Amino acid sequence: MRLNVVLRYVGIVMLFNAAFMVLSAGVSYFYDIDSGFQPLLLSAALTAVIGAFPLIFVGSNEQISNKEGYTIVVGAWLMSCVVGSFPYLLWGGEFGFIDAWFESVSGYTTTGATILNDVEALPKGLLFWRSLTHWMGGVGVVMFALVILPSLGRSKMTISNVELSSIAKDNYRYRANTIIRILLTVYLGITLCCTLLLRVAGMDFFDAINHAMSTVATGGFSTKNLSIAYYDNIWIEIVLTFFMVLSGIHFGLIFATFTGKYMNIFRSEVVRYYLLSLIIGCLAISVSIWLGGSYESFWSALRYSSFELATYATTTGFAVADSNLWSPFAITLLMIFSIQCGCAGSTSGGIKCDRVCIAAKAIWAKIRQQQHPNAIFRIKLGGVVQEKSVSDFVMLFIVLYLFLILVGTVVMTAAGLDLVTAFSTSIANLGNVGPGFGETGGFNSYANLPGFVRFFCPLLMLFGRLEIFGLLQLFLLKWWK
Amino acid sequence: MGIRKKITIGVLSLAMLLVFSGIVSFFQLSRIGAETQNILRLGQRNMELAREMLDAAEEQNFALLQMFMGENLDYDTLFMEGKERFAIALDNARAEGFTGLDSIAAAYQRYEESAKYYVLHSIEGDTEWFIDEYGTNYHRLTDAVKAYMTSSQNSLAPQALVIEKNAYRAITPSIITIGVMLLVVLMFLYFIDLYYVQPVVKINRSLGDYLSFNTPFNVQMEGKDETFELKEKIEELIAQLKSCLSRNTQ
Repeated sequence: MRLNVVLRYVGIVMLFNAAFMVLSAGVSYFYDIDSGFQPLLLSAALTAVIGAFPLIFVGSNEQISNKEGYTIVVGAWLMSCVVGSFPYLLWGGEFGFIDAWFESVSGYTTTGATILNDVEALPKGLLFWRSLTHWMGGVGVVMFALVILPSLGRSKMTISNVELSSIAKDNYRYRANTIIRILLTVYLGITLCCTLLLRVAGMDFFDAINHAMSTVATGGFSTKNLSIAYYDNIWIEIVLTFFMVLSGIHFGLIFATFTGKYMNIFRSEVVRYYLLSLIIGCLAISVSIWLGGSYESFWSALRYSSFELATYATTTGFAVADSNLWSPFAITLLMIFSIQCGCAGSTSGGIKCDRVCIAAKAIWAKIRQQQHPNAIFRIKLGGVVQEKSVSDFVMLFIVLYLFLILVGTVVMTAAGLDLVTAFSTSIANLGNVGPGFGETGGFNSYANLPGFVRFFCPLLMLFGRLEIFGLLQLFLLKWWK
Repeated sequence: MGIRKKITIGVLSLAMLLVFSGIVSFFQLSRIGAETQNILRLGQRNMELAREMLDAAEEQNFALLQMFMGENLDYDTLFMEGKERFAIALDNARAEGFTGLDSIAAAYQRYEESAKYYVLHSIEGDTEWFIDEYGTNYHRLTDAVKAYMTSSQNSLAPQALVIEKNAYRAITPSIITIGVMLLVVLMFLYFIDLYYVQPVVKINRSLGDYLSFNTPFNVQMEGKDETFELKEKIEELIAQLKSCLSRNTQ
C-alpha cells in the first residue's frame, strides 16, 4: 500500500474541512465576531497545514487500489473527527479532550448525541460548525472531495464504492461521477427546501439552516437546549417529520422520482416496507401512549409519537417529548426502529430496511426450501435477484451488528450504567441515533455519563457509520494482501 | 517543484507552526499572568480596606469610650475622624466593585445610630446602655468586617480553581499546535525518506553494483524532480559510456 497516496487524498479531505471551518468563522464574523471566531479560524489554519503538507510532495495518482481506497476513506473519517474537535477544544467552555472528541465524532457520524448541558451557551459560529459536521458527515466526508477531483479518474469508483453503503449502490445505474453528482444535488436540494419551509413555519433563518442541515443528515444537533420542543410549533414538527422520513430514503430513488424515472420511490419494495413499517409503528405507539394516559387526546399522542418515531427510526435524534415517560411497549418499539432505521443510500444509520427485507426473504426462502428440498428459491428485492453471497453477507452483518450492541451493553454496564441506559445507549450510538433511554433519553445529555463511556461511545458511532467492516478493515490492513 | 523548494516549504511550515505555538503560548501565559496578578491585587486591596474599616471602628470606639468615661471631650474630634475614615473605606470598597459589603453597611448604620444617640443625649456613665446597646452594635460591626475578611479569603479558593482551569485552557492551543507539528514532522520525515533518501540509496547501490559486477543500472522512481533527473542522467551517462566502449573495441 502506498502511504503517500493515502496521505495525499486524506489531505485533500482535510482541506475541505478547513474550508468549512472558514465558512463557520464567516458566520461567527457575521454575528459580531462572537467568541467562536478565533477558535474556528485557528482550527482552519492548523487543519489546512495538515491537509496541504502532503500535496507539496505527492503528485496526483490515477490508480488507487481497493486497499488504498479503504484506508483513504477510513483515514479521512478519523482525521476529520480529530480536526473537527479543534474548534471545541480551542473555544473551551464545557469541552475537555474527551468531550470535544465525543462531540466531533457525534457530529461527523450524524449521531447527534451531545455532552453539552447548555447548548445555547455556544456562540453562533460554533453552533453552525456543529451542524456543518453533521452535513458533511451525512453524505460522507470524502464525497465532497470526490466531486471536484477530476484527476482521480477511475479511482473515483474505488473510493465512492467504499464510502457508500455496500447495498446502496444497487439502486444506481450510473458512473461514479454521475452517482456523486446525483447524491450531492439531492442532498443540497433537500437541505435548501427544508431551510425554506422551516423559515416559513416560524424558525429564524439561523435556526432554520442549522436544523435543516441536521435533519437532512439525520443528525440531531439542535441550537436549543430543549431541541424542537423549544418551538412548540406543530408546523415545524410536520416539516421536520417529512424531511426526516424523506432523508431516510435512497437518494438515487428521490432523484429518479423527480426526473420521472420508472424505478422510483413509489415502486421501490424497500421504500414501501419502510413507509408501511413507520405508519404501523406510529399508530401502535400512539394508541399505546394514549391508552397509557401520557396524553389526553389521541391527536396529541399521534403528534408526538409520529415525530419521535421519525426521529428514532431515521436516526435523527431530535426531541419534542420526553419519551422516557412513555409506556414500555412504546419504548420497545422505538428501540426496534432504532435498530432497523432507514433505507440504504440515505443518510440514516442502523441495519437499514434493505437488509431487513433481504434477511426476511432469506429466512422465508430457507423455510420453503425445507418444505421443498428439490426446488430452487431465489431471493428477489425490487425485482432484482440477489446473489447468495449478498444474502449471506446481510445475515453476517445483522449478526455482527447485534453482537456489537451486546458488547456495548456489557461494557457500559461494567462502567456502572443501568441496563436500560446501557442497552439503549449502545443501540443509539451504533445506529447513530443519538438519544437512548434512561439517563441518555428524553432531553438528557451525555454529560453525566462516566468519562470511560464518553470515550467508548464514539468508537461505537464510528463502527456504525462505517458499517462495521470499514473500521474493522483498518485493524486488519496488515493481513490484506 | 524542485527539491530545494519542497524542503524549504516543509521547513517553513514547521517553523510557522513553531512560531504560532510560541505566540499562542506567550499570549495565553501573559493573559493568565495578568489574571493571577489581578486576583492577588484584588485580594490584597480587599484586606487593606477591611483593615482600614476595623481601625476606623476601633478609633471611634476608643473616642466614644473616653467621652463616656467623661475623661476628655476633645475625643469628639477623634470620633469624627474615625467616622470619616470608615465612610471613606466603605465608599472606596464599593467604588472598586467589591461585593458582600451590605452586611457591613447595615451593621455600621446601627452602630452609627447608637453613637449618634450618645452624642445627642450625652448619657455619661449609663453602663447598661453602653454594654447592651452600644457594645452590641460595636461588636456586630467588627464581626461583620471580620466576616467580610474571612469570606474574602475564602473566595480566593474558587478563584484559584479558575486560575487552574484557565491554565489548562491556556495550554490547550499549544498542545494542539504541538500535536499538529508532530504529525507534520512525521510526514516530513516520511516524505524525505521516500522521495530523497531512498532514491539516493537506490542509485548509489545500483551504481555500485554496476561498477563492481557490471549488473544493469535499474532504479524505479516516482516524481519528476532533481533526483529523477539525476537517475536519468546516470542512465544516459552509462549508455554513452557503453557506446564509447563498443566503438573503442571495434
